[in-house]
Amino acid sequence: MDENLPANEPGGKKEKVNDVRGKAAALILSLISLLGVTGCWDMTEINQLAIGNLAGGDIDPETGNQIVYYQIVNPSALAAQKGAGIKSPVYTYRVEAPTLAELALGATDVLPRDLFPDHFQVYLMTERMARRGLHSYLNFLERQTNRRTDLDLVITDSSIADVMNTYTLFERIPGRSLRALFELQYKVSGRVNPKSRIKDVVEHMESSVLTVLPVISLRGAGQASTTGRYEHIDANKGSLVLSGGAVIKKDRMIGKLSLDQIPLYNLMKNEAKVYYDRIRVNGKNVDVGASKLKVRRKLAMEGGRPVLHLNVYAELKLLNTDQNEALSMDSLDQIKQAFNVQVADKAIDFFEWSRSKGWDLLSIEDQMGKKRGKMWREALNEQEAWKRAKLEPEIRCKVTDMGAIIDPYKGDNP
Amino acid sequence: MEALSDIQPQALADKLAERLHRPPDLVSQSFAISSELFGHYLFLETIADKEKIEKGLAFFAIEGKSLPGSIDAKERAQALIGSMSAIPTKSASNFDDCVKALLEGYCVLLIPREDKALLLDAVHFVRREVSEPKTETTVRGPHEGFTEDVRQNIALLRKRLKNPGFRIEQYEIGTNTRTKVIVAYLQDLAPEKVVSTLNDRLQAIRTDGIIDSSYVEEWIQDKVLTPFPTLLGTERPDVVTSHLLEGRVAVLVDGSPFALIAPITFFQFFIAPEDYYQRADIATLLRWLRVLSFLLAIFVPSLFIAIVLYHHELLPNPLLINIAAQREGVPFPVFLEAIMMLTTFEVLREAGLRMPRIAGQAISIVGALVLGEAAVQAGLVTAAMVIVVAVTAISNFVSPSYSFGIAQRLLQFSYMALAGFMGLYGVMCGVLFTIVHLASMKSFGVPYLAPLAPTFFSDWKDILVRVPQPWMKTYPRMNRVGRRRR
Repeated sequence: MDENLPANEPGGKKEKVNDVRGKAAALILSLISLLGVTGCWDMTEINQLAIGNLAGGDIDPETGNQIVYYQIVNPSALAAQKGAGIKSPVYTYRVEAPTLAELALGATDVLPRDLFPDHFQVYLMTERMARRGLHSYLNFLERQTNRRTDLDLVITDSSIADVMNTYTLFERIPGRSLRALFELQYKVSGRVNPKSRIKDVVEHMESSVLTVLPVISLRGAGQASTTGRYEHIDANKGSLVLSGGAVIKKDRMIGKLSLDQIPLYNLMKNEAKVYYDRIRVNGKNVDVGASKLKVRRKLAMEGGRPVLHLNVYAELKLLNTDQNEALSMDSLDQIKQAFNVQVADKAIDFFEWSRSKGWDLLSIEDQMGKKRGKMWREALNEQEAWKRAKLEPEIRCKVTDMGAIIDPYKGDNP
Repeated sequence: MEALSDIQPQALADKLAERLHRPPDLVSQSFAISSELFGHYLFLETIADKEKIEKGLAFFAIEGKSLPGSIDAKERAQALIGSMSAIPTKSASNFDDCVKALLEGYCVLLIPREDKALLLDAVHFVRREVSEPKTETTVRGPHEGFTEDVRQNIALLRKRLKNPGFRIEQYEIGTNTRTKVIVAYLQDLAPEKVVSTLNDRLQAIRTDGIIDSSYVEEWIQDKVLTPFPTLLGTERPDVVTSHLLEGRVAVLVDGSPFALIAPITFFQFFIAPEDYYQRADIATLLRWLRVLSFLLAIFVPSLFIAIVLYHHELLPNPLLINIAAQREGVPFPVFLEAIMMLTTFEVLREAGLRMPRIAGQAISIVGALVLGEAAVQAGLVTAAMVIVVAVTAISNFVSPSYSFGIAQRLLQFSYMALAGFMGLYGVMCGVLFTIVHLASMKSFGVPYLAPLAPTFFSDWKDILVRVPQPWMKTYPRMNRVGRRRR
């Protein structure tokens, strides 16, 4: 319309009115027709959902049937305004079927609501299932359009039925409790590898890189399957605890790392945030925490064999010392020296141990595969070429935090 | 047409009275110009000032005595009319003008053998004193507001604009109301195109009555089928003055305390008068707060509906569980719940506006109880929904312009419907449609999304931010003619 023409210009008014009426009628009709399409869309009221928080997988060794546990959140027991409820915050459903697809269908036999898998926090697998291989399960997950693969994949060496029927304290949803536990462990003790998600396992399915997944165990089984657990003061009974790391090669569990080995493994893989160690200086124990870790790994061919140079720089915090003398520059140098030597020795020992097990935990073969040149190609032709590799660690550190006192109180121990 | 000089004053007065159907407030009396010459005067006592009329008539009596007795009656009358310059008068040369003058509050003086009737200005309408505007209050800055008297409103503008280029054009619109509609602008600053467009549109109005400026707004706005206003209504003379100083045009309507300003763009609805009475940084912050409130008002309920109905995966786990817990046992779907709650709020709001102030307070209390505590405790609605409605409602009130606030509400309900039917996809469709619609709009030739689209970077100094006054050296480019610097 010409902007100079007044909106109420009589010329062509009739046609304009008809035009406007036509548009309005079309708009109203389309709005009314929208009402009919609600059923076609995936509209689901939030209280029609069974919000999953923890999924557990197992296999029946006799029948070969797949067993899945779904732990579903009971929202009304968790509502903030309803106070400390005595109702169960989660319910566990067990479904068994010959195939994974039938498991999904089988869930509808027992679950009165739509299973909502998007909010699963952790996938839990039994050790026996992990040792058989997880490829069918991982492929099934990857095939789902609404999959989430950034969830932690966890192995349990306890009875999965007991683990799935265990209430957790403080964080009353077990999936979230486990997730919080892993995050805390990674930040505080370094006993969990951050690359323990489903996507990490899937990424390494076709390579020689090993994955270390957390292993949890149930301490004192059978103690924590009723809400009565919330009334007991002894929190240790019936707790889910971290007990080690499951070494996964491709899709199969091939062994375990102890809790003490995991921080060193993380450090050597440059996947650690902190590292704690106890060193001996002048016959006395000194506990140190290393942070601000800078790790550089370089693989080189030296003298016809691969050598992995591991350079570590750390800032140390003195957590505890049994020494009675006041700290001095000399004693600090001794601590630093002891730390450097001990970590280097431990790294070599760990590497030798993993080689003896046949586990390429430092991903040397994978690194060799990425190298260019005839020398590396020839080296790779050899069966398990990584086993010929040598580790040359170089550790450096600086003490940045000595605590609030330099000269300890001596009491009766001069 | 019969000349006034052909009819005797008495007969003419009778004819005028007859035309008005002899209303009870019509005063029609004869008065002596000399011993043998009698005139007649008429006025409507409800809208005319008797004191002024008496003063005028006394003048006739005194001046008449001072004239020499030798001059004849016609000369005497003309001498008297010629000496009336001390009293504001006009003249009417035909019968219809006399009727019109009577209805406007003039006193019509009919003098024998004169071809013109003398109109004594005794207009005295009941009018409200200048008071603080009720819809646009400020803490700092002027507290004067327009009244229903257009002459008083012009006076308020003249008080602020001592510029000879301040132009006022008057129209009388409405066959029954003959309402005075004033177009005011500054000659050198207002674009000729805008002024002529406005004048054309005003002249094209064909209606029996104009009661308020909103009547005029509906006639002259650029687009009819849109929730967005293309004229800004304000009852503050300082706001009108500041817009006139930026080259815009104001329309004042007799009987309405709201002036209309054109052209206006979308982003100007986020500007409050107080912005210019605060420090620039604070004004900028408040302006962004208003933008945020606008977004909250239109999107909070629709996003809540869309996410709770369709996109549960977008909620963080604790929030999902919290909302799920609240929704346990609530009998209505979330869409219906939202519509019910917001409709109830609109009903309460409307009731609060129309009821006397004391009753309005009672309604607020009932509303707070019904919407809040009782509804949640009865399990009819969730606490989350009450929060959503509260946030939306409060955000709605942040808009400085009442008419823009209404547009917000229409958008909000539309987006809610789209969210209910199609989730976030529907909301996104609605947003795109709105943006296209806004981009297609113009206000008197100025694109509605200016200065963002088309982009006038120089105008951003008083749109997205408010820079200090000394930095505002140029006139807005989107509305500029000739002079660039202030």
